[in-house]
Amino acid sequence: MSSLTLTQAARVLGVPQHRLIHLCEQNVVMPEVRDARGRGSSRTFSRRNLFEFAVALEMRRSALPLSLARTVLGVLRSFESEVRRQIADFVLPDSLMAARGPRVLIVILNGTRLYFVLQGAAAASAVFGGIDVSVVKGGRSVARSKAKLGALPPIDTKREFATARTRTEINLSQIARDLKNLDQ
Amino acid sequence: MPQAANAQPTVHGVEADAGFAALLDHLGRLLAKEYVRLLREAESSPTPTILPLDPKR
Repeated sequence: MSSLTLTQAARVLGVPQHRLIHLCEQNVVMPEVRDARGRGSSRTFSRRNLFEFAVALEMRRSALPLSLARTVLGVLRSFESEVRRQIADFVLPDSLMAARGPRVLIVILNGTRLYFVLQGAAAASAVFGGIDVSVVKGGRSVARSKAKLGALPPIDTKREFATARTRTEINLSQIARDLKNLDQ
Repeated sequence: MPQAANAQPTVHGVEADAGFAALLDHLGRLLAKEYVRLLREAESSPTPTILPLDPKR
Protein backbone atom coordinates (compact mmCIF):
# COMPACT_ATOMS: atom_id res chain seq x y z
CA MET A 1 0.00 0.00 0.00
CA SER A 2 2.04 2.99 -1.25
CA SER A 3 -0.52 5.74 -0.71
CA LEU A 4 -3.69 5.97 1.31
CA THR A 5 -6.75 8.13 1.34
CA LEU A 6 -7.97 9.65 4.58
CA THR A 7 -10.64 6.95 4.80
CA GLN A 8 -8.10 4.16 4.35
CA ALA A 9 -5.65 5.67 6.86
CA ALA A 10 -8.40 6.07 9.46
CA ARG A 11 -9.52 2.47 8.91
CA VAL A 12 -5.99 1.06 9.21
CA LEU A 13 -5.34 3.02 12.40
CA GLY A 14 -8.80 2.38 13.84
CA VAL A 15 -9.58 6.01 14.60
CA PRO A 16 -12.18 8.50 13.37
CA GLN A 17 -11.09 10.60 10.38
CA HIS A 18 -11.43 13.86 12.29
CA ARG A 19 -8.53 12.87 14.56
CA LEU A 20 -6.23 12.55 11.56
CA ILE A 21 -7.51 15.81 10.07
CA HIS A 22 -6.76 17.53 13.38
CA LEU A 23 -3.16 16.25 13.31
CA CYS A 24 -2.78 17.60 9.76
CA GLU A 25 -4.31 20.97 10.63
CA GLN A 26 -1.97 21.27 13.60
CA ASN A 27 1.01 20.57 11.29
CA VAL A 28 1.95 17.46 13.23
CA VAL A 29 1.61 15.32 10.10
CA MET A 30 1.93 16.78 6.62
CA PRO A 31 0.49 14.69 3.80
CA GLU A 32 3.37 13.65 1.60
CA VAL A 33 1.40 12.50 -1.39
CA ARG A 34 -1.24 15.22 -1.64
CA ASP A 35 -2.45 17.88 0.77
CA ALA A 36 -5.98 19.28 0.85
CA ARG A 37 -6.32 22.34 -1.34
CA GLY A 38 -9.63 23.94 -0.52
CA ARG A 39 -13.18 22.69 -0.31
CA GLY A 40 -13.86 19.29 -1.83
CA SER A 41 -10.20 18.31 -2.19
CA SER A 42 -8.77 15.38 -0.33
CA ARG A 43 -5.54 14.46 1.36
CA THR A 44 -3.48 11.43 0.39
CA PHE A 45 -0.90 9.90 2.68
CA SER A 46 2.31 7.91 2.40
CA ARG A 47 3.29 4.95 4.58
CA ARG A 48 5.61 7.28 6.44
CA ASN A 49 2.60 9.51 7.15
CA LEU A 50 0.77 6.48 8.48
CA PHE A 51 3.65 5.81 10.85
CA GLU A 52 3.69 9.47 11.90
CA PHE A 53 -0.04 9.30 12.66
CA ALA A 54 0.49 6.13 14.68
CA VAL A 55 3.28 7.74 16.73
CA ALA A 56 1.30 10.93 17.32
CA LEU A 57 -1.84 8.99 18.29
CA GLU A 58 0.13 6.84 20.72
CA MET A 59 1.57 9.97 22.30
CA ARG A 60 -1.90 11.50 22.59
CA ARG A 61 -3.11 8.32 24.32
CA SER A 62 -0.44 9.04 26.92
CA ALA A 63 -1.81 12.59 27.20
CA LEU A 64 1.36 14.07 25.71
CA PRO A 65 0.92 17.42 23.93
CA LEU A 66 0.87 17.87 20.17
CA SER A 67 3.93 20.11 20.37
CA LEU A 68 5.87 17.13 21.70
CA ALA A 69 4.61 14.87 18.89
CA ARG A 70 5.71 17.55 16.42
CA THR A 71 9.14 17.64 18.05
CA VAL A 72 9.54 13.85 17.95
CA LEU A 73 8.52 13.65 14.30
CA GLY A 74 10.92 16.48 13.46
CA VAL A 75 13.80 14.53 14.98
CA LEU A 76 12.70 11.37 13.14
CA ARG A 77 12.80 13.14 9.79
CA SER A 78 16.34 14.29 10.42
CA PHE A 79 17.19 10.78 11.67
CA GLU A 80 15.81 9.16 8.53
CA SER A 81 17.59 11.47 6.10
CA GLU A 82 20.91 10.99 7.91
CA VAL A 83 20.60 7.18 8.01
CA ARG A 84 19.70 7.20 4.31
CA ARG A 85 22.98 8.91 3.54
CA GLN A 86 24.68 5.72 4.67
CA ILE A 87 22.00 3.13 3.90
CA ALA A 88 20.36 4.19 0.66
CA ASP A 89 17.21 2.08 0.97
CA PHE A 90 16.45 3.01 4.57
CA VAL A 91 12.86 4.18 4.86
CA LEU A 92 10.48 4.70 7.75
CA PRO A 93 8.66 2.78 9.04
CA ASP A 94 9.68 -0.46 7.28
CA SER A 95 13.42 -0.28 7.97
CA LEU A 96 12.78 -0.07 11.71
CA MET A 97 11.63 -3.68 11.48
CA ALA A 98 15.05 -5.04 10.51
CA ALA A 99 15.42 -8.26 12.45
CA ARG A 100 18.75 -7.34 13.99
CA GLY A 101 18.33 -3.59 13.99
CA PRO A 102 18.37 -1.61 17.22
CA ARG A 103 15.03 -0.76 18.78
CA VAL A 104 14.17 2.93 18.83
CA LEU A 105 12.24 4.31 21.78
CA ILE A 106 11.33 7.68 23.14
CA VAL A 107 11.24 8.29 26.87
CA ILE A 108 9.73 11.31 28.57
CA LEU A 109 10.82 11.87 32.15
CA ASN A 110 8.60 13.85 34.50
CA GLY A 111 6.45 14.83 31.54
CA THR A 112 8.98 17.44 30.53
CA ARG A 113 12.23 15.97 29.29
CA LEU A 114 12.47 14.02 26.04
CA TYR A 115 15.06 11.32 25.34
CA PHE A 116 15.64 8.98 22.43
CA VAL A 117 16.89 5.50 23.31
CA LEU A 118 18.55 2.95 21.02
CA GLN A 119 18.59 -0.64 22.24
CA GLY A 120 21.01 -2.88 20.38
CA ALA A 121 20.86 -6.65 20.55
CA ALA A 122 23.91 -7.00 22.77
CA ALA A 123 25.16 -3.56 23.65
CA ALA A 124 23.78 -1.47 26.46
CA SER A 125 21.23 1.16 25.50
CA ALA A 126 22.42 4.45 24.09
CA VAL A 127 20.45 7.41 25.40
CA PHE A 128 20.28 10.77 23.63
CA GLY A 129 18.71 13.87 25.00
CA GLY A 130 17.12 15.52 26.49
CA ILE A 131 14.94 18.24 25.22
CA ASP A 132 12.98 20.16 27.80
CA VAL A 133 9.50 19.97 26.35
CA SER A 134 7.71 22.01 28.97
CA VAL A 135 5.92 24.75 27.10
CA VAL A 136 7.63 28.08 27.50
CA LYS A 137 6.68 31.58 26.45
CA GLY A 138 5.49 31.57 22.86
CA GLY A 139 4.46 27.93 23.01
CA ARG A 140 7.86 26.61 22.06
CA SER A 141 9.91 23.97 23.69
CA VAL A 142 13.46 24.61 24.69
CA ALA A 143 16.45 22.34 24.62
CA ARG A 144 19.62 22.08 26.52
CA SER A 145 22.75 23.14 24.74
CA LYS A 146 23.61 21.33 21.53
CA ALA A 147 26.66 19.82 23.14
CA LYS A 148 24.51 18.01 25.71
CA LEU A 149 22.21 16.31 23.21
CA GLY A 150 24.69 13.57 22.40
CA ALA A 151 24.80 10.14 23.96
CA LEU A 152 24.63 10.59 27.71
CA PRO A 153 27.36 8.98 29.79
CA PRO A 154 25.90 5.88 31.51
CA ILE A 155 26.27 7.45 34.94
CA ASP A 156 24.19 10.49 33.92
CA THR A 157 21.59 8.28 32.27
CA LYS A 158 21.34 6.13 35.35
CA ARG A 159 20.95 9.13 37.64
CA GLU A 160 18.40 10.93 35.48
CA PHE A 161 16.28 7.82 34.95
CA ALA A 162 16.58 6.66 38.56
CA THR A 163 15.49 9.98 40.03
CA ALA A 164 12.56 10.61 37.65
CA ARG A 165 9.14 10.79 39.27
CA THR A 166 7.38 9.60 36.12
CA ARG A 167 8.58 7.86 33.00
CA THR A 168 6.59 7.51 29.77
CA GLU A 169 8.09 5.16 27.21
CA ILE A 170 6.96 4.75 23.61
CA ASN A 171 8.48 2.02 21.46
CA LEU A 172 8.71 3.37 17.91
CA SER A 173 10.02 0.07 16.53
CA GLN A 174 7.00 -1.75 17.92
CA ILE A 175 4.65 0.82 16.43
CA ALA A 176 6.30 0.13 13.06
CA ARG A 177 5.82 -3.62 13.52
CA ASP A 178 2.20 -3.21 14.54
CA LEU A 179 1.57 -1.16 11.41
CA LYS A 180 2.99 -3.96 9.31
CA ASN A 181 0.56 -6.37 10.93
CA LEU A 182 -2.34 -4.00 10.33
CA ASP A 183 -1.45 -3.81 6.63
CA GLN A 184 -1.78 -7.56 6.20
CA MET B 1 12.15 25.19 -4.39
CA PRO B 2 14.95 27.52 -3.27
CA GLN B 3 14.26 29.37 -0.05
CA ALA B 4 14.83 33.05 0.48
CA ALA B 5 17.99 33.80 2.37
CA ASN B 6 16.05 35.16 5.33
CA ALA B 7 13.45 32.37 5.43
CA GLN B 8 12.84 30.90 8.87
CA PRO B 9 13.73 27.24 9.28
CA THR B 10 10.78 25.01 9.89
CA VAL B 11 10.12 22.16 12.27
CA HIS B 12 7.78 19.86 10.45
CA GLY B 13 6.16 22.73 8.62
CA VAL B 14 5.79 25.04 11.58
CA GLU B 15 7.84 28.16 11.84
CA ALA B 16 10.30 27.78 14.63
CA ASP B 17 13.31 29.65 15.83
CA ALA B 18 16.55 28.70 14.16
CA GLY B 19 18.14 27.44 17.34
CA PHE B 20 15.44 24.93 18.17
CA ALA B 21 15.17 23.62 14.60
CA ALA B 22 18.93 23.17 14.51
CA LEU B 23 18.85 21.26 17.79
CA LEU B 24 16.23 18.82 16.54
CA ASP B 25 18.20 18.32 13.36
CA HIS B 26 21.39 17.77 15.34
CA LEU B 27 19.69 15.26 17.63
CA GLY B 28 18.29 13.34 14.65
CA ARG B 29 21.74 13.12 13.08
CA LEU B 30 23.39 11.94 16.28
CA LEU B 31 20.74 9.32 16.68
CA ALA B 32 21.20 8.18 13.08
CA LYS B 33 24.95 7.76 13.44
CA GLU B 34 24.57 5.58 16.50
CA TYR B 35 21.72 3.62 14.89
CA VAL B 36 23.88 2.80 11.86
CA ARG B 37 26.79 1.84 14.11
CA LEU B 38 24.62 -0.54 16.17
CA LEU B 39 23.04 -1.98 13.03
CA ARG B 40 26.41 -2.67 11.41
CA GLU B 41 27.69 -4.16 14.65
CA ALA B 42 24.71 -6.52 14.82
CA GLU B 43 25.06 -7.49 11.17
CA SER B 44 28.74 -8.30 11.51
CA SER B 45 28.34 -10.43 14.63
CA PRO B 46 27.61 -14.13 14.07
CA THR B 47 23.98 -15.14 14.07
CA PRO B 48 23.17 -16.95 17.31
CA THR B 49 22.38 -20.57 16.63
CA ILE B 50 19.55 -22.20 18.49
CA LEU B 51 20.29 -25.90 18.82
CA PRO B 52 17.39 -28.33 18.91
CA LEU B 53 16.79 -29.93 22.26
CA ASP B 54 18.10 -33.46 22.46
CA PRO B 55 15.51 -35.58 24.27
CA LYS B 56 18.15 -38.26 25.00
CA ARG B 57 20.11 -35.96 27.28
